[in-house]
Amino acid sequence: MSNAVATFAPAHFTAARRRESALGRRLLIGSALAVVGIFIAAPVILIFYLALQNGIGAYWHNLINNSATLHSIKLTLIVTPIAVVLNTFFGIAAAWLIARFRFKGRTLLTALIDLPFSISPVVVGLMLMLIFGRLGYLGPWLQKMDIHVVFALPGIIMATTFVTLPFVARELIPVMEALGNEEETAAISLGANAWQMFWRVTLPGIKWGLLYGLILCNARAMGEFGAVYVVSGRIENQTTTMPLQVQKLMEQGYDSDAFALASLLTLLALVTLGLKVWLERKTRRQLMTAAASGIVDSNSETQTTVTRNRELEIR
Amino acid sequence: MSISIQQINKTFGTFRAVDDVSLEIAGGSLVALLGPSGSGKTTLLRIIAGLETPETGTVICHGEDITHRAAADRNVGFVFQHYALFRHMTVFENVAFGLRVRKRPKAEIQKKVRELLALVRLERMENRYPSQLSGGQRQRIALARALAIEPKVLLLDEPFGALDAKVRQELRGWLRRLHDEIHTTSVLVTHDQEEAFEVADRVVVMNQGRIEQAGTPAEVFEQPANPFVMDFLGNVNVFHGRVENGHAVVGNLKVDYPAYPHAQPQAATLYMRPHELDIALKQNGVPGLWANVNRVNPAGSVARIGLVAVDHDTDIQVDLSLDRYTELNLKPGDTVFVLPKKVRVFIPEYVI
Repeated sequence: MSNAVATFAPAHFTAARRRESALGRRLLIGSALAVVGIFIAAPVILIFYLALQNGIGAYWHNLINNSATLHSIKLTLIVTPIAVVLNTFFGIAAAWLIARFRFKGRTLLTALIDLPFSISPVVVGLMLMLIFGRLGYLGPWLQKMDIHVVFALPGIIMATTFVTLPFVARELIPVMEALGNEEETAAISLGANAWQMFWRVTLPGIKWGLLYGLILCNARAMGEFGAVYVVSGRIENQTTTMPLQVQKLMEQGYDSDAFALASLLTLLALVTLGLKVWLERKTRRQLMTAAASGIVDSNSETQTTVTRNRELEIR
Repeated sequence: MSISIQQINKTFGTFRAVDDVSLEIAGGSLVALLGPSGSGKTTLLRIIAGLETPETGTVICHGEDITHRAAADRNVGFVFQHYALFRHMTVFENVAFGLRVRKRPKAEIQKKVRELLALVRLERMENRYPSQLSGGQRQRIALARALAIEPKVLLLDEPFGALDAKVRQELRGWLRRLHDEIHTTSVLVTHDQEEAFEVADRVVVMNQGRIEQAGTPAEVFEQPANPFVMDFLGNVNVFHGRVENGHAVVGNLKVDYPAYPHAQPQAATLYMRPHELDIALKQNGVPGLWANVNRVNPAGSVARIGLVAVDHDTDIQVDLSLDRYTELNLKPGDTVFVLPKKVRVFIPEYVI
């Protein structure tokens, strides 16, 4: 009896504590859902609602029958892949350099790669204007050579590439560091040249990290507004990308056209998000099969997958 | 293929990893580079492989200077401590790698890989991935992969270091048999003296970037060139005494040492291996040391007796055969007489 009483108080106490923490948890989950709902889900739903409120026919009409809108879609579909390809080359090269070699200025390079993340895109645009613009340092020379950079495709590509520069490199550096260089050394000792080593050993090792970086890079490149706004000059049917066209249509009062284009841009973003989730699942499943197979010992293999996965979760 | 290493130097920053090392490796032999970590053995191996470049010195392989040849063109098989298998490739593709990058015909690759998998007794594993293999299996695949390119020289960097004791023991014997079969000149890096002695034809003991001694396992073990080699090759009892008038003296132990006939005494270190000591219950005219039995451990192939010398408080370890141990019937607390069967004396070098 006394025993029962003795245990009663602490049990009651813990139960109360548990109730309290359950309440706190619900409160936190509730507020998180509210914030996500109000600031993210609602606007996305609203965009699709407004775009489709007059039916799918009107939606299609709004997209197709505006030549400026069509051109902006085309332009974005040209600029984005070019920026992604450029950043793939740069990202792999930079990650390779940083992960494999110790050299003077390595820390500086690592920091500089992050610069486009921290700097305002409008400033990026301004910097490009100061260099390549008519009154910029290279302006007169470019004019003499009849090369158009600002207010033309090259400027838009440069701005987009600059802003999306960190994605691939940032994603690859930890992956390459975790993989180590033993497999690459083994490939060389077996007679592979640098090219064969890259295609047969390095690339297969980093492919999922690379794809992940490409997806993020692609999403950001499609949506880039500020830097492109400054360097493009927003010339209709020439240098107006999708995000710029959305803003232009709003300004001009073509709301339903703007909603249609905005919803298309959002749709592309959602597809990207879907791909990203799929990729995360895939990496996690790899980890689980590796763990389940049981024979994976303290080898770096598991560690790599763990690192990569943690990397994904942080995002 | 013979390898001749001449006056190799290599530094990392201010650290001298390899210090003026010269070494001859006979064709078809299996040589072990033995030493503690940081002794430069792995660096020397990587220099032979072309994975590091020496600052000075030359590497000559079968009469050909290969010092400045790229690793990929040296045709050297390298086996890494942590296997370094290509984790996204099957066992078959791992072994085939060296042949694929050499653009050999498909049928030839198929034949060669199957042969090698049979050699390492992993024929049925060809479609597995490295993560599905045990450590010992992985290292056998790594070896098959290195052998696929028909290397002139096979280099093994602590190949069994990441494996557990039993597997390590098995693979050692297997490696020795394999070497007897294929006769590829091989260099094995290890810090395990047992491994070196069991597998290698010649053992090269390294320390602080230099070669301390090179010779057959028996030579190195029986006639250690200096205190480092003596110390490094397993358990040894160390006594600090002196030499004078053709004798080495520690406490009441006095042994002949004709190499020092001078009257002027000089400090010396005496080394005795545990199995080179015997125990007697009474003094019997043979020079020896009085000691107290501290602990006895008869579990194993020998009985290990721990003692403390009576007159100078030094720990002594003696390994007795189990028969001898039973005969003596030793118990902790007994005072006995320790008789050295073999004593090595080293006089520390001194600078005037």
